[in-house]
Amino acid sequence: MKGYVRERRDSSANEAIARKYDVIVIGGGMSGFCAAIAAARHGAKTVIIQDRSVFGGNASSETRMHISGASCHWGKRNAAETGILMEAQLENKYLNDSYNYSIWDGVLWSMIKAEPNLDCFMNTTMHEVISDGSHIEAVKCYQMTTETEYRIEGGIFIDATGNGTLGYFAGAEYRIGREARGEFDEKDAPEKPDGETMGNTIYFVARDMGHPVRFIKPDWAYTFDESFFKHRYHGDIVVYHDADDVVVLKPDEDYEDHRDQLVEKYDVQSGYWWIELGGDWDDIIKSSEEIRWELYKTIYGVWDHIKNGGDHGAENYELVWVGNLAGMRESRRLVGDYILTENDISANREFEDGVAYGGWPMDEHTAGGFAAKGEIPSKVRSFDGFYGIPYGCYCAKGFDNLMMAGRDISASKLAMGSTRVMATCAIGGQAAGTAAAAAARLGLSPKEYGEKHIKELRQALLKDDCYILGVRNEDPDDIARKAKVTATSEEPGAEASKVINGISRNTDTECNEWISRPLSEGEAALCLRFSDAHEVNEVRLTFDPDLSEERCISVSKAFLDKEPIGVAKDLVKDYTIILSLEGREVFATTVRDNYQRLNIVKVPSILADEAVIRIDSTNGASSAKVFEVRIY
Amino acid sequence: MRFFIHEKRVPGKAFPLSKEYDVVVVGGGMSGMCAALASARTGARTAIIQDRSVFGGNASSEIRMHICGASCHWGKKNALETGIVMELELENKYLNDSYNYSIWDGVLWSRMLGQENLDCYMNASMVSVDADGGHIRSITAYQMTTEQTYRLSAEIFIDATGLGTLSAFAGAECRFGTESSSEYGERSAPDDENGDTMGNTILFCAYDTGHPVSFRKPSWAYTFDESDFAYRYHGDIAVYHSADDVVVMEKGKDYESAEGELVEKYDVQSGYWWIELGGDWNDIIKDAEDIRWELYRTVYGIWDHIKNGGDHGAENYELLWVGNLPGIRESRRVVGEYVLTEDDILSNRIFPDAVAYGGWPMDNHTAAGFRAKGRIPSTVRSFEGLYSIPYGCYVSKDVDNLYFCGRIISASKQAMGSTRVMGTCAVGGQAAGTAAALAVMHHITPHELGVSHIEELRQRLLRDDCYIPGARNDDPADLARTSRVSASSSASGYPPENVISGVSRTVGNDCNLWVSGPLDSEGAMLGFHLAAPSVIHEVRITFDPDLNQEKTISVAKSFIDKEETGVPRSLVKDYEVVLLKDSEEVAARAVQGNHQRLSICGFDGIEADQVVIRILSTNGDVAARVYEVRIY
Repeated sequence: MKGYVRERRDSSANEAIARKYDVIVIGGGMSGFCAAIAAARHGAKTVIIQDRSVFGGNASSETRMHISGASCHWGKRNAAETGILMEAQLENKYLNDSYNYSIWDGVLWSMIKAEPNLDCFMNTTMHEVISDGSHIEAVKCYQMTTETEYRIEGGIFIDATGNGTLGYFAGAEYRIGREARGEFDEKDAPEKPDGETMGNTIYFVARDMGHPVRFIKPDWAYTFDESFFKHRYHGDIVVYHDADDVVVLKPDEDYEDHRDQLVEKYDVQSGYWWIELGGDWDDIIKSSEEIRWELYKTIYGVWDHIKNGGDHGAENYELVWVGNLAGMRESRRLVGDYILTENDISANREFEDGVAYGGWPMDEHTAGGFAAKGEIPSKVRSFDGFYGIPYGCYCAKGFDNLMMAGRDISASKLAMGSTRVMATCAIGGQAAGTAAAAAARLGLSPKEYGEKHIKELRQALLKDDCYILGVRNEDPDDIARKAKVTATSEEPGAEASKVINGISRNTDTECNEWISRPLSEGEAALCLRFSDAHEVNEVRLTFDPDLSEERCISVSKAFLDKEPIGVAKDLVKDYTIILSLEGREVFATTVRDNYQRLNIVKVPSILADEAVIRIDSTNGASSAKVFEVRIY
Repeated sequence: MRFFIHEKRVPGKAFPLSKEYDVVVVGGGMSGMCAALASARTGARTAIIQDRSVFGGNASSEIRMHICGASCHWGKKNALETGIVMELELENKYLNDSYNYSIWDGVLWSRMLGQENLDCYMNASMVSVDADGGHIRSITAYQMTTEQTYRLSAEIFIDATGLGTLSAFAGAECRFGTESSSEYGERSAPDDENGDTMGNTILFCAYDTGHPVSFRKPSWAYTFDESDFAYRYHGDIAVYHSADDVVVMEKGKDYESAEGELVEKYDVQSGYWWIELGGDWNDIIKDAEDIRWELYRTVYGIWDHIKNGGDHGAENYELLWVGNLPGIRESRRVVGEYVLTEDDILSNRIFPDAVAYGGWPMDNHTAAGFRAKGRIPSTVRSFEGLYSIPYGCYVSKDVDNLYFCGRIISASKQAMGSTRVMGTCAVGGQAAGTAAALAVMHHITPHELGVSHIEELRQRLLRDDCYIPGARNDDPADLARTSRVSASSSASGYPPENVISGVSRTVGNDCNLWVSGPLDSEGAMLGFHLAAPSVIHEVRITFDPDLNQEKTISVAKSFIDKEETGVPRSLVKDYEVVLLKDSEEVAARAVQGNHQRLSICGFDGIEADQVVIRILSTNGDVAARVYEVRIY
């Protein structure tokens, strides 16, 4: 039994507990989350510091923004981000038919907890950085729930704070505002530089009760009439956004009818990204608590307008949730070894050191947000295709141990209008975390690591199911690449050999997957044959969850109505791997109830000259679909 | 327009922003809020530091525990806490028919931000204290949303942290665990002292979707069978808790059926306080994050048991919300000038320096909580009546400018089983905050205030609608006390003189209430002939919201079903106050839509010899009901 405690401290100093890690990630939004898991999986002793009780940042239950990315919501095809982000989203799809944010919180938290190399300090705020302007020695953090002060030092630091707080405190070069056109020769930039940024947003959620519900306006709510809502739709309506206007669609038109534009469906069940303030204020970081309160007063005013200010089809709707923490779009951008610009994006530039990609429009919200009455809420500059993001955007200039991930990466104001969306942030986080682990292991600065090992980094990311424009699997350790691949059946254009063609998603011009004939017509199996026997330790399979479909958690009725519920039908469910040597079976294993895209099957080191992958069932599709097979 | 920023910060320690206040409150739960509001309203320049995005602590949307108090949920009569906590609850009743926690957050936040003299630092964690063991000079806090470090100095500090963090850091004596029976002569205490405390709890909410819903058990959930649930009811059942048992009540029996006992109604819509862990762990503060994760795994395991482990009547229920932050019941208790004990509670002791009261049973949860398998989850020692809490329980014996309030006040382990509930914490907070402001005003220490100004404090609390057993209004400045009171009509037994009885609630056989005859179109009139013509600045009227009826926001179906929705019917709605001089009207104030118990009408110093209050309507009752009128 524990002893009774009489405590009387003789000093008010709260001595810091010192900890040392290979990789230190500050910030637990989607980019920090992916960075930390990636670093830990690559063998680095990693810590993630998160100042909230949940992971996910703007995508968490606290803020509830859905994860946007290159697909532009049913716009660009085969564009969904894969890797760790996809893994989290597919886990959520498996568990969470009802778009319950508590379960999503649990998915993220449990993934962090499951990593043996990863320590997480939640409810922990970094409040001091020890740095000489080119090297970070340590960060100091306070964990509010345990009253513990930590001093954390180590190898590589990753700034996933959103605000670029770590870089700022450390003395890294940063920017806030809009560059002049002349600086990067960006045609859509203003003539002269200015300090405008995008604002912050608080969301609400309402529910149809099936009977009329009244709403009494609280005394803290603002009063708005219809004149405040120009271009700011708040009823059952579909629009697309471009650089100059918000265009209302015809009643029967949907996302697919304007694939080249950013389509938005509005309703009264949740919203609205345009409940946005700040950006024209003096300092969006220092003012953030005041902006938060003003947003709160605004959101109740908007709901009062919807309920009591004319017919918005909301008579039966009841407010069920209002965010307490604003989602932030923009503040500091840290300057890296490369600065991404509008021209890179418009040209769909593929960098030789590309480690991530994007496709969201350059979506530049109007400073002032809801207070910019009469103006369109965002200039949305859509473009075709995807662009690569080079490694240098994630390495802080002038530092030997600082990287960044998320909306604070090195990009011009116009480019960050696209790179800032969470899926793009997430895959960049995975790239930064993977690089940091390797750099820490090799004792290199992030910059040196990039100069010497960029090819290895890109190959490591592909292996972990990331997508990089223009890169194919060239992993010399992958013995599947040397195999002769056949299948029991295949669809024309989707032959068995596709599983080793080095690309694990379809593109506009190329199908990169094997598709069997319908399973009902007979066994569907892939056979990989080697000329010699190889030692097999691991089989990696990449299945097809349909990368043209959205699968993010959302509060938006448009998403809830349109996204398929549950596990993606196209994903293989049950399968069997059989390894043989000289015609004799030496190993077999069956995996059941798969709901992931990337499957990693460990094999006790065994010699084999043939691998058969038999697809026993799918989650609903008639045929088996496999993008890639790797064997190690 | 703001300027573009392109620069580097000089690395190194941030220079804290220094601010000076009269009173600084650390912690924004119910006790800290009431303390801060009371201090600011009493005239002190006050700051409150809250480490979360919302106020309310265990009662906030983050945790969702309902506010318990002396009434023991429809048990003890006329026992509800009044003052600031009642004001907040009545504002919520006015706005929030649907028990929406977002609106409750807004009620608390708006009252805090709207308070003159009060600065709120939210999302700000106190990271260090500058103290020498006898005096606190300042505290340092970091605000995560603004990246700002603050150093706040003050005359008086109030520890409302729940954990006693400020007191411990400042060097005040603190205790953890259970005292031996000999230490304070407590018969329910164990023979030998030990370190057991109560544990922490995470609550969940579910809702009836009207159709069957499946629940897929997540990988992080524990597996439980019915044997884990002895005494831990989780279906449609009513019980009462005693010191030895959990007694199941007959179907149809309710709160009123066992008034001397603590009745609990269980259902599958929300729960459960017995999802509790810790207390037997090594250090309930240092282990808080581990306990949080274990609780999370336990909640999902329990929901899986309810949904998939036999018939619990939950087929149509869907999980809606799971807390991310546990409610904490017990950790440090700070030693004050007086230590409240079991005997004080059982004897209903009335202290001459009482400033608050309690009535909740000595409800000591079993250390280890859910893992104390087979044992009752709490030893509930009910008692009759109410006890008072003396001033010394809120005053540090070691640090000369430190008050504390909330569950950490100076009480034995047995006594804190009762004082820890939020209704009791809130009224104590109001007492501590009022005392702090008075101490600043008189330039004296908390200890000196207790010696020389305790009556002033008690009278101030009564004036602000607090209840103190045994205390009566004897404020010489109150002109109503010496006036001749008349009424247009009175119900039998409720004469108009009751409004100057000095007690503003029903106590035993003394109703202390004026009730008019049924209201007609003329309304009902209450008249005061002043002893002499006087200058009037303020008329304070205390109405009757029914102090037997619970008014707390709650996730419990039993509360939502049983509580009155909306503004209490017995509260006066529209009324006017008329001042007369020589029978001529000299001033009048009309109040419409009142939904508060304490209603204050200000006048600009008008000379009058008569005050008439005309009640025009109520919120549903047939008659006007007034407990007290004060004229200043």
